[in-house]
Amino acid sequence: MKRSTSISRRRLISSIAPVATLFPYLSRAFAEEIAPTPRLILLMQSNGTTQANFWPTPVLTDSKVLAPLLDDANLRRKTTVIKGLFNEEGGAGNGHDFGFAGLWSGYKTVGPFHDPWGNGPSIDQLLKQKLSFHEPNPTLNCGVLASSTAPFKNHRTSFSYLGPHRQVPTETNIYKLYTTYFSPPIGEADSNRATSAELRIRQNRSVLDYVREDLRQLKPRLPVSERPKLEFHETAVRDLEKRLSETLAPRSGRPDWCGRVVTPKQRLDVILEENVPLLMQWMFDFVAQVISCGLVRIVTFPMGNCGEKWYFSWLGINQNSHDTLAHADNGDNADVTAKLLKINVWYAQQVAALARKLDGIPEGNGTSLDNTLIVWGNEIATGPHTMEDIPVVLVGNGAGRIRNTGRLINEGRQPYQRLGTSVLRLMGVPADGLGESPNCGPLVGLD
Amino acid sequence: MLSCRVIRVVLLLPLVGCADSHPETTPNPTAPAAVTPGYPCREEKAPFARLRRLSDSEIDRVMGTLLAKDTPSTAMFTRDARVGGFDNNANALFVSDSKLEDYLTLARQAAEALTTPAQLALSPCPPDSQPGPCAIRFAEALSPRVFGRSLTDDERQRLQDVFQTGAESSTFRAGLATMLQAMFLSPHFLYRTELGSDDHPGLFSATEIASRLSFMLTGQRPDAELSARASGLFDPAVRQAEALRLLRTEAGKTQLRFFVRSWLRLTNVAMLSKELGQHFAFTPEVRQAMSREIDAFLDHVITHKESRLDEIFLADYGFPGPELAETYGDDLIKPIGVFEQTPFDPVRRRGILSYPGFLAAHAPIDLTSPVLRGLFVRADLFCQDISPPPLGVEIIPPPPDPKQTTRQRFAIHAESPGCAGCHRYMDPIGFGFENFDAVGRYRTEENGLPIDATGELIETDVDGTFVGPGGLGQKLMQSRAFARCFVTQYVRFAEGTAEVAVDSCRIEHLTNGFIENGFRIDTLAAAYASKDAFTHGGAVP
Repeated sequence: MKRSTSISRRRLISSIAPVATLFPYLSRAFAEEIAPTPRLILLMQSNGTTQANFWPTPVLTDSKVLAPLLDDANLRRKTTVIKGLFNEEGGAGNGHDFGFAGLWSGYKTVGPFHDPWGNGPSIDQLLKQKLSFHEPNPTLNCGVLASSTAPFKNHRTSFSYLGPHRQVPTETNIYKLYTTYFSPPIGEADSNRATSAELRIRQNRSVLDYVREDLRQLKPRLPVSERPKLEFHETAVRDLEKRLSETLAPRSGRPDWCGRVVTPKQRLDVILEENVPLLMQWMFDFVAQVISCGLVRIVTFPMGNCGEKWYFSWLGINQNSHDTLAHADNGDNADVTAKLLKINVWYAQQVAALARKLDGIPEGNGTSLDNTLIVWGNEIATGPHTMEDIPVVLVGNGAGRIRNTGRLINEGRQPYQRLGTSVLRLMGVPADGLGESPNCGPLVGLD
Repeated sequence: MLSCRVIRVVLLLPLVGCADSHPETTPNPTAPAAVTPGYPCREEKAPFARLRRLSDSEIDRVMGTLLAKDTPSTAMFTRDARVGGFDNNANALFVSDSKLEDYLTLARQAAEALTTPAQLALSPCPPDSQPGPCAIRFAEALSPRVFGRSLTDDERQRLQDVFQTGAESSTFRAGLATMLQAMFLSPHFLYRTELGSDDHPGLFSATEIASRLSFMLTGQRPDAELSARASGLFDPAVRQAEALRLLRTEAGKTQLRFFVRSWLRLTNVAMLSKELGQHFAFTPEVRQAMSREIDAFLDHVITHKESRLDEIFLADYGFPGPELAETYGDDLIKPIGVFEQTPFDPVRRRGILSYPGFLAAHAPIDLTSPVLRGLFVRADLFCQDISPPPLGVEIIPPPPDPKQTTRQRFAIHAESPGCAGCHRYMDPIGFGFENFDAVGRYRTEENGLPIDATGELIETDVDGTFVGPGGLGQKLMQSRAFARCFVTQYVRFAEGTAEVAVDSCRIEHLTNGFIENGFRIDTLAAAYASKDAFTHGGAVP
């Protein structure tokens, strides 16, 4: 099952070299002769899984839930399933909240029972602070939250956090995303006459220079405790400037198709639940595109709201999947189990589709998937809020940083913070633990 | 076995906690906390030295002061965290990548809208004036509404540079638009600061006090009148008078309405979804009418009923529109009008808790949930916290049963010791709403069985049974704990922080005044503005 998918640094550099010549910061980044850094996609599913149908054999066979992923021999080879993770941290809210805000931060939720929030930075934001990036967008938090029973408290809409209560909002508007990342809208609205790209760049720079100077002057007037707000702002301005230059520059440096990416023509309401299957497909298309075109390195992606109640009409289920199905999963009801299996297979199909899209994009001597790590996590283990054996699947080997893929890691009970610790390490950030478990160490068995 | 207890300690929230059965001494919840009359609560100050990012609703209000039509809005923005239901939490709000993208879009739209030929004609430059100085005149005119103050010399110079770059090889208008983008992306637009001045340590500056007052009461930057009186705002009487003036403006009424809707979790009524099969079509028109009815009602109370909280909870009338005919059925004494005051059948409905918009917002998609309705009352109306379900407990709620009423289904919570410990604080309150289904229609039967809509409050200062939302409203208006919670919620909103202790001296004093003044929210707001704590800052929590 072993396979070395690490591509040589020279090959990687040559594959993106034309991009680097266009953008000086890219050249600089790669001139430092750093090892290829994997891209990361963190997916969050809600409501746990049907445990009896989830876990595969040690060589990743015989899982009904994971069949869409594992029946494809190529994907199976690139997949790692992790059993034994538990979360006994507790916090505010209930199990959904503990896992949703905790899995990728390692923190207990904070606040009263009815209004729980994440209490520390999630690993996407930690990585953003600690790594240097050649991509114009280090992180992107987008997802599909269309739901006829959208939570009326929005702590359940994003698991990306900068700190206590500081939730990074989830972008769910696919059209807005395409406009932001793949079209040059700058300047059109600015004046009646078309301005050259160069002038627009100068105008943008002048605007952002003004903003930067304001931020610079304001910062010393703030107490130390308030300065991080402006530091996040400064980072956002810096990233925006990169994005604006990127958007405006000619596209010949990237894979050709990056210049031909178009917004889906069909207009869908991005808050309507019936549109979920198509939105998921389009969003994953988009994620594969921005990752492979070198526009974003780290994506966080909620596949639905925390404690999602989708009725799964597209699977013919038409029942509240949280209240009526997930919560009734006591293992004794064949009808409930069959429906939950159907639902969880659907999630696996989505993940497999994303993996396949990335695997279909050549990169270096491998594929885009080979330089990416997809982590498909879940807020809880089962619908009735149990937290033992939280299902986690890794797809891709993260530019060769996971050597032994294609297997089940089953090393007994392990605190869930080890997953985040391992992901930080895989991404090149030294870590002994995560959040409230600073010394939990990495996952045992992942190498 | 589990049980719950009320722990009344000096916490941010009184905690209704579940713990192993070791009952502790419970102070009498009806006894008000000891307060020395006249004690000024000087130790409790407003959070100080803060940078407060404008909320999306504040941005919308500010934009409204700049452009009467084609006003750019935050409607398409990614949504910020709403801590405790309020969208202005100073700690939670920051500028993320996606937010900055949103701001960029907004800045471009605003720049475009403010530089149309029609707009430019409104503020023409003097003949023969140079483009640069002319552009700065334009910026200066907008500055009080955009930044809440005049431009500094440094800003004038730098904005002129931005204008020059924008106009270079292009038009005057392009230069102006570029300059405006810089203004709308400036931290001085996106934030407000409460940093105090070096001259008076621990005291907010006059400009900051004006801004605090204005944002608290109108959600936007100070108007010209308030700015002109800024230097007098150190005087509590001036603050109180200005507060009452602002509360009477349209912006003041809108803000008060917004506060009540945020507190009661009613900001999303127009977006609700319901799935009642063929029994009821919950169309966009229906939910929008529910939302509009709430606005019409709150407007009425604010304008004609001295913004009294008891009117909000006890009013025997609604403001239904024709789209709500099916929802209301026979519940109205007069024919339905177009969002006009219409008396309720008092047996059925009374107060905002019986409005269809409220009932629909506090129910799942298809059925009612006594747990959710009860939790709302406990948490948001009494400011009590429920401890979360113990770890390791499998949560399997009673499934829908066509042979039982909701009350019968949830009886299992009371019978199971593991559930009863906490659910007894929620479910019995929620049962009091059972005469109303998930879209707020009155009903006396469920699944062919009669409904018992008797609710019960425990561990409050108004314990006992009640029937229906009207009955609960009457209980609430007799409760000091409820009044104190309301005052706490108002101060949380005013200060943009969840860190306001419900049992603090300051809240007690404000509560005393609030009750004495007949539950007038406007008077409470003005009283809060007149307190020393409003101008004296304490450390950031």
